[in-house]
Amino acid sequence: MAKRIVKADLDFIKEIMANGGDSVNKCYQCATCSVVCNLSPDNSPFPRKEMVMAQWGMKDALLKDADIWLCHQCADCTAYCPRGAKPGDVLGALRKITIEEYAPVKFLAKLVSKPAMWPFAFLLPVVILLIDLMFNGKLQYLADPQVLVNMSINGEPESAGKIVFAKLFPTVTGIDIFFMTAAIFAVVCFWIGLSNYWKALNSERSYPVTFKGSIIGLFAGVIWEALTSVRFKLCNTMSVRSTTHLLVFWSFVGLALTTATASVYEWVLRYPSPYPLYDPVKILGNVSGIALVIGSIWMINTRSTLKVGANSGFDWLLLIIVAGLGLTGMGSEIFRLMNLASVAYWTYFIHLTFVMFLFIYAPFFKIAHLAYRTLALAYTNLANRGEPNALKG
Amino acid sequence: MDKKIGVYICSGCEIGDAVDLDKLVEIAKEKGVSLVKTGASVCSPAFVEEIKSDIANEGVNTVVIAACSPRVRTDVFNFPGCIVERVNIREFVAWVMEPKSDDAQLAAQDYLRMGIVKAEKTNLPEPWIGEDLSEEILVIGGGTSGLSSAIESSKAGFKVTVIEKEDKLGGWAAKWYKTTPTKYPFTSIEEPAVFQMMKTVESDPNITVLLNTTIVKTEGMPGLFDITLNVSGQEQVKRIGTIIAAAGFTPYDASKLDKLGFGVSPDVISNVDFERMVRETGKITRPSDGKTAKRVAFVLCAGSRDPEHLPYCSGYCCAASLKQAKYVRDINDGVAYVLYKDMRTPSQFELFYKELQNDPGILLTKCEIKEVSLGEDSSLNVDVTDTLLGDELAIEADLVVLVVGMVSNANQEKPDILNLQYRQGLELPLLDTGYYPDSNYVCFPYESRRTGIYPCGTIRAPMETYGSIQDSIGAALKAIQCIWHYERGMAVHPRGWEKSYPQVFMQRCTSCKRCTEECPFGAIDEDEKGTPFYKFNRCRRCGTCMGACPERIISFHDFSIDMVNSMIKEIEVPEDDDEKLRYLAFICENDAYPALDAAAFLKHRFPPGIRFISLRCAGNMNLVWIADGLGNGLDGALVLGCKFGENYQCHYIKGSELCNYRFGKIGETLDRLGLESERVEMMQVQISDYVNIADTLKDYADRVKEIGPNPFKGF
Repeated sequence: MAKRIVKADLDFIKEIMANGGDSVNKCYQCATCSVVCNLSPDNSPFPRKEMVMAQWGMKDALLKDADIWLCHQCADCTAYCPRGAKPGDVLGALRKITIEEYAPVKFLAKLVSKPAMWPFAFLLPVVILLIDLMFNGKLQYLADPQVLVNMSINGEPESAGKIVFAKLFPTVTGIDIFFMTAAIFAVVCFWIGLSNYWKALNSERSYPVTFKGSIIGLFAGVIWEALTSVRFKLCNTMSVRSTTHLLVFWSFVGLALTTATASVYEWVLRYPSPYPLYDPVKILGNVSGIALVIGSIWMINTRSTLKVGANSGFDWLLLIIVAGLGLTGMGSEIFRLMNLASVAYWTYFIHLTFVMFLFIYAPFFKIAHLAYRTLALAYTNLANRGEPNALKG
Repeated sequence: MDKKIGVYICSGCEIGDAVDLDKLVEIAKEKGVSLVKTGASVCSPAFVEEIKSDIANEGVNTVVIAACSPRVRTDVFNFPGCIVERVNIREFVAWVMEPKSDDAQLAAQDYLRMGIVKAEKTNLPEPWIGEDLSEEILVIGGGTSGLSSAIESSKAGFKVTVIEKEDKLGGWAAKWYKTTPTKYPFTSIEEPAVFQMMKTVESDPNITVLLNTTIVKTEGMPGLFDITLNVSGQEQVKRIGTIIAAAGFTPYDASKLDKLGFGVSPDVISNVDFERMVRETGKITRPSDGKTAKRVAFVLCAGSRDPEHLPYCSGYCCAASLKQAKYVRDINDGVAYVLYKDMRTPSQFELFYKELQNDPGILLTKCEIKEVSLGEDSSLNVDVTDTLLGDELAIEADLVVLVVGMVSNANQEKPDILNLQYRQGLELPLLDTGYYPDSNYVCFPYESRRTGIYPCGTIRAPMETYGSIQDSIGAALKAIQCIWHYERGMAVHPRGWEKSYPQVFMQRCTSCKRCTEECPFGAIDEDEKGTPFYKFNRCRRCGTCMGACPERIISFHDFSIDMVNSMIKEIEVPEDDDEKLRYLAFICENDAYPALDAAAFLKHRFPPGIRFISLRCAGNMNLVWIADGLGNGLDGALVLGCKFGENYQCHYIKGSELCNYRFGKIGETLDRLGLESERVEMMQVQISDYVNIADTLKDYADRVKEIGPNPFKGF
């Protein structure tokens, strides 16, 4: 076994405590958590070792500990902990710190890190969208969107008299340019963050790692696990999360497909939105949107009643964004169909704010887990630590 | 005393359904008792009134109650001035044998005859009460335990003298910066409580404090201790009633702990030195260069739970180290590494532990210390292994504190505390663990093997301030209880009601000294010629001497060799019946008797041929009883004593062990008689063995059955 030099980083301990892991020091290392966890491997199981390291402020070791991503915050450990040390919450805090640590643009990470900063965080997408409107010469319509109804797009008469969102945000210059840019920014940030994390995971490895099979197969396996929610299904205390997470996850997949198909409509078929309600894209979008609303509100409900991760602003922010995204998305459509032009346009503006928020902050807040967890699970699979006992035949 | 015996036989509690009471009345009459009565419930107020009226009007002065176990209804069958003998035909017959069987009837008759014979031979005891008894309590040691026991004794109205060998009061606690918590919510460190106690003691007119004082010698016995004190070089003698020994502890010598790095650097110090540094300077610095120690590693169990040093846990150290870790946080805003084998914070200290755990600068880990070595920049490296991470850790520290255990001051090479002028030695014998003068605490709190001397605080067992204060209250109560008892000529716990005391027929004493050696309480001294003499207030009436005496000259008013022999002769041995064997079972009244009572309550079946005779302690056991019993045709004999050896449960410490030792010689006796030594067994019984004691008895009976009936039957 390797000898580790203890460099107790008290600030790191305080950071964990400030980020939802305030109970970390209550742990007296009995290992009940590791025993009750269905997801923990036999060899060097989590979360006890993470609790010990966290109490000792062993920052370096924890920041390259892939095991924290094996944890799915079932909260079985938290429920059975005799000291109320809430290991699940501590691991949640560690995941937050990890994402922030590897994210390249620290300024953006700081904005989403603390609830007190969130208003400023929201200001950024709002400002971007206002610039967007200005750039397209549409800013003046925001105050009174009613005017837009009677206008037509590109002089096409059939669009006049209808609520068409493209009248406020033109498809190419209003949406595509700005949102593609934001998406590219997010992808670049993810790339930098993940490659740093991958390097860290592979420096001084704690476990032997053997590369076998194809990289595609490896990631496909991990993604398949996520799509089928296999790990969540092993949870006892928060078993409901296998359903809620699946709901939200699949609705995102559905919405991504909707967007992709809509692009095909727009660019290949030259068939502009809004589409009629019977259109397959519309059906897919609406079903996904409703699923997103139900899933996110359900998640908020379980989180507030079960008090798991209750102190983690990090988790709450994602729930707010997801619920906001769903509600404003569906709201825009409903108000549009109800012919409430001003309300519909304003709701659409807020909806785009949420979308923009999601795009530019994706690498810096909880949504980033989809990338970090995927990478870490791929790593743990290579280290032969990925598969929980319960999943092994 | 002219005896007038009244026999009262109860038919209640299923006794009437199990045995023929009329026959029992006949038996009593055959034994010459004229007044025999039966009742449906002898313990009822009406019947008790009848007994009282017989005492008043018929001149009855010896009452034989044939009913339930003598362990119950003692308050009801209490007739002052009368001898009361209880015959247990409920637990030993009615509840454990086939109702209305010959076996049950014969057993009840045997027990009744035995009881009547015993009553005939019993005398009313005249208590021994010494003259010029003192009521004063001497407290040895002016530390936390000593002072708090002095204050408690004084509050109860007793005069107390506190002696302290140093030139000021306070003991160890007064040398400390802070102590672990003593009151709810048990989360913060406190000013040592001893400072307030010192003030209280100084202003209490009931308490005399003698500083610079040691004991030259202690003579006498409870109530009559004559203690020669050396007060600042002047000798004086003081008459004392009871003694509370609160002479404290000595920290384990850290210089023996070179394997934990002591001596590697001046910056490896003991927790005692650490505490002294904080108290004296208010700072935490490195002895080597005087620099502030920011990183302090506490090595717990330094020399404790270690067979090479102290094999036991001192109990106080974990909480005390957390306290010292708090100093590091408060004074230096540093980091405290607490390296433990197991974090042991019993009772309320768990709250303290929980509180300090929340401090991010107190880092705790379970580990074993591998090495403490000098690192770079004159810092120290502590390499630890077997951590919960599975890894070895290397910790850099400015200061390493070895947290050492406590050694009782009674467990020193030359304790020099009491200087008892007793046949059995100068100081308190170490009990149980061999490290402390502690007793079987559950049954005998604060007891030492020297009656009237009650150890408390860290001399008795390792403990912290809170425990010491609690402990000293208990010891004060025991000391007061002892005074109350000797003033009435009564023994102290466990036979606290006992007014009888050993009667010795000295003309036949051969000065063999077995009694003086074997007395568990050192109650018997010897004169210049080696002739034993009793100090009755030291005596606990266990009767170990009675079992020891080869001349059989030691007896009690209500218990003697002859009495038991007579009882054995009353057991009817059916002749010409190979099925009806008879076994004699001597049972210790402290564990075996209650276990049998409990088994009877559960209606377990006992072998019908067994006859129980209660002993004060297995240590009473005299082989002559067995020889006589088997000589009379009984088929086997059994002794049920307490567990002995390590974690012994004998109320008199060595009684059952001595019995076992004496049993080693039973073979010879039986061989002489031409009998199989397997007929005789000694068993260790705990009170909790009631579950299977009936089976144990049955197995024994079966073994004897296999050997066959006693060939002496009928002779």
